Amino acid sequence: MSHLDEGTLHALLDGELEMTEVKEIQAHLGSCSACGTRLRQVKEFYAEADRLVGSLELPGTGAAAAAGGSRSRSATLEPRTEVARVPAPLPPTPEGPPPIFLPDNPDWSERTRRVIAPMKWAALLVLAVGAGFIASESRRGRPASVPFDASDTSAPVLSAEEATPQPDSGALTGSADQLTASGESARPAAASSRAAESQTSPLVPRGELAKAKDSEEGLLDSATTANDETVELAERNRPTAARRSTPPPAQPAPNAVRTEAAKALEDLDRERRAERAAAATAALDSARRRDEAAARQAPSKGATVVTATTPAPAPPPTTAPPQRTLEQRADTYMRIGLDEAARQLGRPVHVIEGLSPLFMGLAQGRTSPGADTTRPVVRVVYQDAQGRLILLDQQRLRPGQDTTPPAGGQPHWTMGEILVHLHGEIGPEVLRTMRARVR
Amino acid sequence: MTADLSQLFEQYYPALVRMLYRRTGDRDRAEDLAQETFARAVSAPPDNPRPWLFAVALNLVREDGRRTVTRGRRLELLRNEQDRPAPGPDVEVVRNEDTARVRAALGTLNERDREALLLKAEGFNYDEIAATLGLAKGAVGTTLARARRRLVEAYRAQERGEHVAS
Repeated sequence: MSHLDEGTLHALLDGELEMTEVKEIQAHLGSCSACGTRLRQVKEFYAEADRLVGSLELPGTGAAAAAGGSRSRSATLEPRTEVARVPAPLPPTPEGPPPIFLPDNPDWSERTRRVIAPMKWAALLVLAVGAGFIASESRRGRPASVPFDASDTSAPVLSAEEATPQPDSGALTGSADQLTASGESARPAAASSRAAESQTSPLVPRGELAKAKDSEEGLLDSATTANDETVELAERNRPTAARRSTPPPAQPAPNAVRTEAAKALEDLDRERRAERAAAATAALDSARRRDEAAARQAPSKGATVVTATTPAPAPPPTTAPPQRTLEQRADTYMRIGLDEAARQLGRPVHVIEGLSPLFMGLAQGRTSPGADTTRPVVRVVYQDAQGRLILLDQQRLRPGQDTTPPAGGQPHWTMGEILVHLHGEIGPEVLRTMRARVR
Repeated sequence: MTADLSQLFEQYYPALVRMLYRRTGDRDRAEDLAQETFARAVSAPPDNPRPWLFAVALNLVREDGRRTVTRGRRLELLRNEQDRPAPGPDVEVVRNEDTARVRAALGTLNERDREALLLKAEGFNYDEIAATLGLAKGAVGTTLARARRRLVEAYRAQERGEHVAS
């Protein structure tokens, strides 16, 4: 695919592209840093231009609304004053453009650097404290470090009391249990979740824990069942996991602390890769996932080659079903904000009273029964206590558009010039009772 | 006015006035042009009213603009003066200055880009913009891309210019 032109990117942001085109663009953006950079620029212009045009309010409307004062518009000019037809100007920075679920391009390192920079200081601090502590311990005649052999599973695990006063390298690099017990504080939040897991397997070397963590996060799953970029991503991760599975040699304390800080950063990186993998697959439909899963069960020649080049093959894809994102479950291709929803509908979006929406998005018209299939629908997504999704679809009616309710018994009606359809993962009876709460 | 036309008026008049105001910067003129648009709709009821009404309104702006450029600018200046609040909060002053900058930036765009942008702001989709402006649908994305980029660049250039001047 050639590079994406500005017009295509604007059409993408305007929700004017077909799903197949969106998928192609997603795939391209995942592998083309130039187009990813261009998309970021386009999003900036897009949001800023909308804000600028939106700021040209009729005298006495925008300012009055912004100030919360009474509106001075005449009834003739604005027959329906409760309808905010013009979206409020976007704030310059806090909200920004509506989030688009597209993969970041490989130029993500800038963001990672932003995270790493403060972490470096934390690592240096830990390093200095650790070195000072070890120096003082050495002066008292205590060993600076306790060599740890991860392969020796008979080695006793230090209790919390034993480990606490000795934050040395062996304890830190040997086992996650010991790591946790030593009160090490510079690790990111990811480490705390691993600590909970390690309660069940205190003697498992950290490399194994890392692999288990990877598979539990669904990183490998999503990579092997999604698209090609994520397959590559998994391949990049495998050697890392395999490397960690070898027991680390005992190292001097400062190196161990540095290693630990680097490990924390790797955790962060891995989480970000997982996020990107999930984002990259956000718009892939379940049918394609099933097809790809079936294809992988009967491995092709190409897949064999990829596996053969892997230095330490990871375990085969687990049988756990791929975790679908909320966007995939709701079948939306782009998240939007209130302003964009109002722009699409020509009036403020309808909501279900008493329920807090998870998010709003645009969905293909054909995914909403009874809607005009040539245009997107605004989909407000809710979740009930059991985790089932409730979808409130809205589409502006065109003159002559058919409003006949489709088969299925789901609530389908019009509110002014808006066609409303309520459906989701719950029964039509509950949906019908919910209809009365749509405002 | 027939019932249908009354409904059209109810439905589209506010949006039409708003778009015309953004285009002309003169509320009275925007209202006049909107009413003239509906007057023409009476004599020739449109099949596809929304693109038709906005296309006629934009044509009227162009015709009117050619005749009354000078008068329009005077009116705009006068209105800006009238709208400007007597010494009020700083935020209001800043808002007025910002509006003037946006309007000036919008004025740097060519006719087609500006109109595409204003129609998009009224919620037109690409089909409707294409129908209203007589463009191919495939050209709408490019037109909007160019319009948005130029608008923002012109606006930023003005900001920079003012900062340098101050």
